[in-house]
Amino acid sequence: MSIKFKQVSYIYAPDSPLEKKGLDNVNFELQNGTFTAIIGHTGSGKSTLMQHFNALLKPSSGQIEIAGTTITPETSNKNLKQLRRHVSLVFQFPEAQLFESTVLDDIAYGPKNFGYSEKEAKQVAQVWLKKVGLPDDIADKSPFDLSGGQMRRVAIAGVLAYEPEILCLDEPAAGLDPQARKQMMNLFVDYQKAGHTVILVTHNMDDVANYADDVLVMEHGQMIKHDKPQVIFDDRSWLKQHYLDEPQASLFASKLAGFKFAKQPLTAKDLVRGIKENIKG
Amino acid sequence: MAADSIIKIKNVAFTYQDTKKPAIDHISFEIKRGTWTSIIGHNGSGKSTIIRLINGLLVPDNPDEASIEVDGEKLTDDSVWDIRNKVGIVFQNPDNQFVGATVADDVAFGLENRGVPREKMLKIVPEAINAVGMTDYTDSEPASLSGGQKQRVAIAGIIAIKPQIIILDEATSMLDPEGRNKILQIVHRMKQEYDLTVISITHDIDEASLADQVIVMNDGKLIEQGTSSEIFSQTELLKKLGLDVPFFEQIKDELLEQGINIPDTVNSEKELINFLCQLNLSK
Amino acid sequence: MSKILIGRYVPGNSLVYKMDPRGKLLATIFFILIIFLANNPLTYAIVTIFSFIAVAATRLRPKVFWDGVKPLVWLIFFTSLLQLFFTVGGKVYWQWTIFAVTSYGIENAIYIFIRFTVIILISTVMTVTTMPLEIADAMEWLLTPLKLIKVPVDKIALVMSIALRFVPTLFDETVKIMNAQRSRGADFNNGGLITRAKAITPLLIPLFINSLETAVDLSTAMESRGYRDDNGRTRYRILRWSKFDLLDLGYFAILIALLLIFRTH
Repeated sequence: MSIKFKQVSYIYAPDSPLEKKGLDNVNFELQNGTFTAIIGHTGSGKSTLMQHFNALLKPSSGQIEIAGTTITPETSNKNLKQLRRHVSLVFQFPEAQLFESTVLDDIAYGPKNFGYSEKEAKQVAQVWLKKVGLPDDIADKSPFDLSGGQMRRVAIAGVLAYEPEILCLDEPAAGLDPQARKQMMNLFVDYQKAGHTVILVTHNMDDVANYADDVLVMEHGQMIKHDKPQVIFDDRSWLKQHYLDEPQASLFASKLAGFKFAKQPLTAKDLVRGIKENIKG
Repeated sequence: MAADSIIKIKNVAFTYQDTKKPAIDHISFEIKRGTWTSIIGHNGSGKSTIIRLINGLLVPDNPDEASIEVDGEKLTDDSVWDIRNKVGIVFQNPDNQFVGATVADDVAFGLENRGVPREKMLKIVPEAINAVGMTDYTDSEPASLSGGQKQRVAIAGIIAIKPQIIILDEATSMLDPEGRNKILQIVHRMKQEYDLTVISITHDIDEASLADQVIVMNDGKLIEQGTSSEIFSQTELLKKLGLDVPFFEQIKDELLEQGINIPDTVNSEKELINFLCQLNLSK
Repeated sequence: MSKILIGRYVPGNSLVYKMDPRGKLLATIFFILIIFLANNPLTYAIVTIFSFIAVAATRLRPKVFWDGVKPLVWLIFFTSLLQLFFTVGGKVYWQWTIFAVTSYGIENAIYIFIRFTVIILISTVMTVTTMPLEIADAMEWLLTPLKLIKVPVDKIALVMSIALRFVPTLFDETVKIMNAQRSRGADFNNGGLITRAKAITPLLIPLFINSLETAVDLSTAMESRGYRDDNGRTRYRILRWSKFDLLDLGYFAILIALLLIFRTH
């Protein structure tokens, strides 16, 4: 099974003076179990694209096949629960979605909506509370008494708790300090390794280089490239042409005049190995 | 240039209501006029609290022992409005500091508050908007602006009141890389043009390394203060505090671990690149 | 939904747009009052023609105005029907128990229909051609005399303008939270009234908390930007009368004159 977008277009506010193309004939196929990054500038259509994964937005034309569901412009807004149980979205600054009186109840909210019993929901909530690295003793606290970083984790636990097959994240680490950021990203890598598909919308090219094995590049509502990170970042002039940043390692490597790298280094590890090979030659 | 200290903080402590642990635990430091200072530290280390104390938004626990001096003026109930004329703060959330209905209205807000006559505003507002490159958006409403553009407007609003000090309170943390770079460029230019002192509170290592001076905070205490290369070469300390290490320092550390001998004098990306290139040539 | 919230301003650049919002606001109020001067077919015809000229002067598509009338169409019909069946007097055309269609009834029904429709049309002319902020400014101006009895008109005006400015922000936030909860399986579309009321808690609480945080941030920012709780503030935004403003007031003055001449005394 895979995720397929076939000629998907989306128009904002059709037939009004504010009409705007959100997506323009987007076609791609993503394999299940991969870690895919979606990159592009603000306003390039990344967020619009992401909201199509679980039919928060439905295509104006074209069709999407995802997690056993086919989404078309005619898809009804009812009965989308099964789809959303399998495909879940985490928006930027997800701590804004917390509302329950205790941390545990908040994490259990999603599972309960998707048919877990009260007891099962609390059980999985307890499990994921720990998995996202939160201490047990905050389970009965109000989520609003926590620090920003902790709230973020509660919000993410609330989505992971019903284990969606496909997890889409919009800049999940934005605003976190570096340590929390690294822990957060590792959590998603572990989630992917446990057999799920992870889709990450990001501006951070180092995250793309470090974690993704597939990249979609968006520009003006169109998907302008779909390839492995290595291929995307190898084409430096193409990146420049589209005003996209490079991972720090590539940038550093490009400044090392006279060095020869078998493969363009994308991560710090690659870079150090490459430098060593050059010097020890 | 034997610059004087524009900000002098002595023995300041502050505790938020409903908490026991002090957010600021008896801190003292000085900031030289015309410099760029970055304050780094993980979330909750007290960085944002300290700047709210500087312009009197918060009052120290120990008013008798503590002293805060801005541009030679001691912060008191009477001087607080005077000091706010000297200190402009760009806050983190671009939306939550945009008061005006349009760009021009927002830039004028600080002037209106200070009772500046309208004829003067008509001159100052377009100048300030122009200084941040937002002239095309003068009559735009905030809803039609990006986060980065809103922050540029916030800067214009500050420039308009001609302060001595501009403080960026994680002002770029909610922006995309493009927006972030643009803001830093603008602040840099403003600093030159208007002779400003800049304080930036940030997680962004690239932003922090622009600074002349870096202050490291942890648990409400100032634990280190020095030039950016002095601070960022202490990679162990930074890691221990959960802070980012500049990329070239990471590479340097790992190369050292791999047995490549890099002298202590290598303290910037440029120096590291030069050193590696020479090493490569001389092999 | 966003249209209801943000007001129904439609960008344009016809003459009506160039008029001062105070003039437009006054003229609208004026119009609603003088419409009651009409009391015979000729005066109602004059009122109708004047309204359609005002509508035409905006140079907007008729659909914009239809959208304004649409939500109230049933109310207009119902009220007109009441008039039709319950007015007594004149020639009786049809009668059944308490219902009767009389010549007065028909006349009244038509008058009510016209009155309602033109009031909606004229207020729509005002709201589609004037930004909410301008309307707020105009209202502040209307309230100015209240300063004499110590009503803090400036402060009310600032609050109104900030409120308007935050409508789109909070609207975006609402959509975002709604989407986040939908992703967690919330269902805002199905179920009975109670289920829906319950489903809305996960939307309202975050929105409320978010607004509180925004308010705290905003007040910090305002204080740090020198806003203090006393007078001595100056104003950057002021309204200026222009030659176009005589136009709309003059237009309605002529309307009054015509109505006074041709109404049945």
